[in-house]
Amino acid sequence: MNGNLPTILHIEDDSNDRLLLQLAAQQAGVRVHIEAVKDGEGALAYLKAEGPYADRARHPFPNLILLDLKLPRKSGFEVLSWLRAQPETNAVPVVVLSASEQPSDIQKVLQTGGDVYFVKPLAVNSLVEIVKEIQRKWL
Amino acid sequence: MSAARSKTLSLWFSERTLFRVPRGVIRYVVALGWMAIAFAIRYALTPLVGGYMPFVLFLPAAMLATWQGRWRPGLIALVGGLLLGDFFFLSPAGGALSFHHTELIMLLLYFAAGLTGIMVVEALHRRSERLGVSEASQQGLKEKMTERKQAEAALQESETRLRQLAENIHEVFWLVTPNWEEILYISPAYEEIWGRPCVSLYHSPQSWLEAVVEEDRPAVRATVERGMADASMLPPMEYRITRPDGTLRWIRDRAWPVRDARGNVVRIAGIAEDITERKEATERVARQVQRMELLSEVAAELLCVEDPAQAIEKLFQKLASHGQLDVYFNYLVTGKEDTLELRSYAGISREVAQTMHKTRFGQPVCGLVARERKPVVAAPVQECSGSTGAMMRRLGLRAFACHPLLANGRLLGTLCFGSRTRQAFSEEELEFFRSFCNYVAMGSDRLRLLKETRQRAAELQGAQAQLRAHAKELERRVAERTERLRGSLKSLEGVLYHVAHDLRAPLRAMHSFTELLLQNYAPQLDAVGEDYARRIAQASDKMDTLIRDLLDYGRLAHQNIECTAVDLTALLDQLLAELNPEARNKHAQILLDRPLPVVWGDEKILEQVLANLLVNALKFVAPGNVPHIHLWAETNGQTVRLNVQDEGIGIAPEHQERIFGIFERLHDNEIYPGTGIGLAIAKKGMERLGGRIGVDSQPGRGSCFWLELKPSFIS
Repeated sequence: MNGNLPTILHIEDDSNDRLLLQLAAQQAGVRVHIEAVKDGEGALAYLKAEGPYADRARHPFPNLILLDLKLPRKSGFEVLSWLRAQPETNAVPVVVLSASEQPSDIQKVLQTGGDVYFVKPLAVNSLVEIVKEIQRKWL
Repeated sequence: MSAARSKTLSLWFSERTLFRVPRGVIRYVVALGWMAIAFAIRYALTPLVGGYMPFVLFLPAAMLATWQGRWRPGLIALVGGLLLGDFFFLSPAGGALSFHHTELIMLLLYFAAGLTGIMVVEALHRRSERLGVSEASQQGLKEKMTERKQAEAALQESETRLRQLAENIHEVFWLVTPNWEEILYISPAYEEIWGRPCVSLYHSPQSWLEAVVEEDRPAVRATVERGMADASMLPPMEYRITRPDGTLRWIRDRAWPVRDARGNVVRIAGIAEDITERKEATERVARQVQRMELLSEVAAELLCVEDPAQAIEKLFQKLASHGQLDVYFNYLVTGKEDTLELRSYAGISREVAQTMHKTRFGQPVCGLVARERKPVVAAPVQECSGSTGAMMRRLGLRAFACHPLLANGRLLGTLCFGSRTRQAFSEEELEFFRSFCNYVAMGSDRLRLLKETRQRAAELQGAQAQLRAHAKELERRVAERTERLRGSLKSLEGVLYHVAHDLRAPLRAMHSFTELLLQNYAPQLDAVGEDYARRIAQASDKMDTLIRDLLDYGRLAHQNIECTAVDLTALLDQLLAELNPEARNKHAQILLDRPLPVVWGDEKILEQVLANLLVNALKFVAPGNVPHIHLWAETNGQTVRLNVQDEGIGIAPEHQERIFGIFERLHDNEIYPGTGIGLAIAKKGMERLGGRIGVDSQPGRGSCFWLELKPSFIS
């Protein structure tokens, strides 16, 4: 909608989490354009500007990708590997926001090419802090 | 001869001291003395005889004087006697040298007789001197004679002894001429040993050789002939003789040459002894040794062979080759308890063997031996009556012995030996057969056991193979199940993962939206609504903690352990820094005894354990009190003990075990909120590290939680 704002592609199947991120961004006062897709296929379609995302004016190429690990059908790891394998998406920062606290998951994300890993916090304030940090560091 | 006789005579004289010869002038005085004595006697006789025989008594006087003082004093005594006789006794008395012709004749006769006597005595003296029987040596001679007499007596004594010895000893002493033609002496033992009188041998010296048995005679004769040629070539001989009663004796004969001073062989002496018994004993021993050797061979054989019949066969061949046996047969008990079957035999024809192929218990002879379990020995066959005799005659046997084969009280069969030539078996042979049968029985029994053992081993092997197969099958199943379990575990982990993710997602939503509700829509809510919203937030918060603790606990149970050297000081500093906000909140006083040792463990797990202990120490203080925490470590050889001491509410002894269980809570959740999983995590963590955890505490006096860790030798 607004071509001047940085775009975040939020890949998240949970609608609550999608809404919470929007709210956290508002609360943080971070001015970003958040595009949300529900799964890996959606993300691929968006990035390839296919189907409903064919219009790049409306759906600009993301400056940053926020990725959940637990996704239906295609897991976050698969999406991440794909992203890193594509020359177009190779350089896009990927922030993983997952409910998992498993060290193995964290390690795997960093090995696959994720830039940073955040555990989804319980408190809204924490999420706000995370959004602020993302803006500060990656946008 | 005459010399010897004269020697005896002079001895006779010399022994009589009365006639010891005086020396020097004294002999003349003695001669005058004899003359005076003769005169005195003649003078005293004058009244009786008148002028008759005036000189007779002077003759012996002259002789005696000569004997004692040689011819000179004798001549003086003779002449003196002549003068005295003439003067005093010839008539006319006192008229000297006025001779009547008869008187003159008498005088001349006297003189002649006297001179003859003197000459004879003198001659005797001379002779004695020539023989060395001088006056000086007469004493020595006498001593020599005494010695000789004693020697003769001793000789006689020793001869007596020797004779006694020779005549009473059992050996024959013999003495022959060097040409062996004349027997000089043979001791009476000859009669005893040869059974012939000694006289017969004296008469025909070769008769001893005739007694020597035919086979030995040439050798004996050869030895004797060699002995005749050279007496030093007389080796000991051993030969047999036949006595008149037909019995045989073994003789050992040894001979030596007897030489004179010049070394010429003058006689052959010998000793012949009866060595029959010794010989027999030696032979017996030899036979015994042979049998023992045979037995040991049998034993060795029995240890090697698979079939005892082979050993029996072999032994029989050996015995047969010694000419001791002609026949053997070996029966064995068959499956049927009371039947014997001929197992092996030798020395009987196949046809005969077929007729005796089987026998029953109690049937003569082997069946009888088997039933009675006692040997049957029969010899000689002529004396055997009944069935045994019949059997032996049938087989042409003269001596026969049948023994039972018994091993550990079990009857295995019988073994019989027979001879067609021998009159009887000796006691030793029978003993040998008995031993042999024992060996065979034991050997057979051993083989039976061996077979059984082998069979059992084979069975065992089969069973083992089955077991192995079974074990393999089991292993396969275990592997299968393990795989399945691993799958389950994986899916369980998956479940946990989902729990972590999916269960917490709605929670997060609940919590976040409640927060947002409280933050953004508080004005629209009244106090009750606000309280409700807060409770929802708290409950979801608590549930999240619970889920997270449970996940921690679950992860601990199967998480990989990565041990490294962990610096407790650094770890605790970091932990305390993390807990700092809470600690500051509670104005807690925390004392850390630096430096703490470096331990060996998984840092993540240690962190979890210690975090739980510190959280507890901060939490469980009496309301209104300030937490005091003291951390220190003790190193004791192979363990490091880390103590976390608080001054909190303490734990009653009966609860000290319980608190480490999962979901175990001792206190009101309102005052001490918690999930009841913290200490369970601590305990599980220590278990995974191979350490220990415990608590020393008393209610109201604080608790001291301790960990036992392994020290690190790498810093």
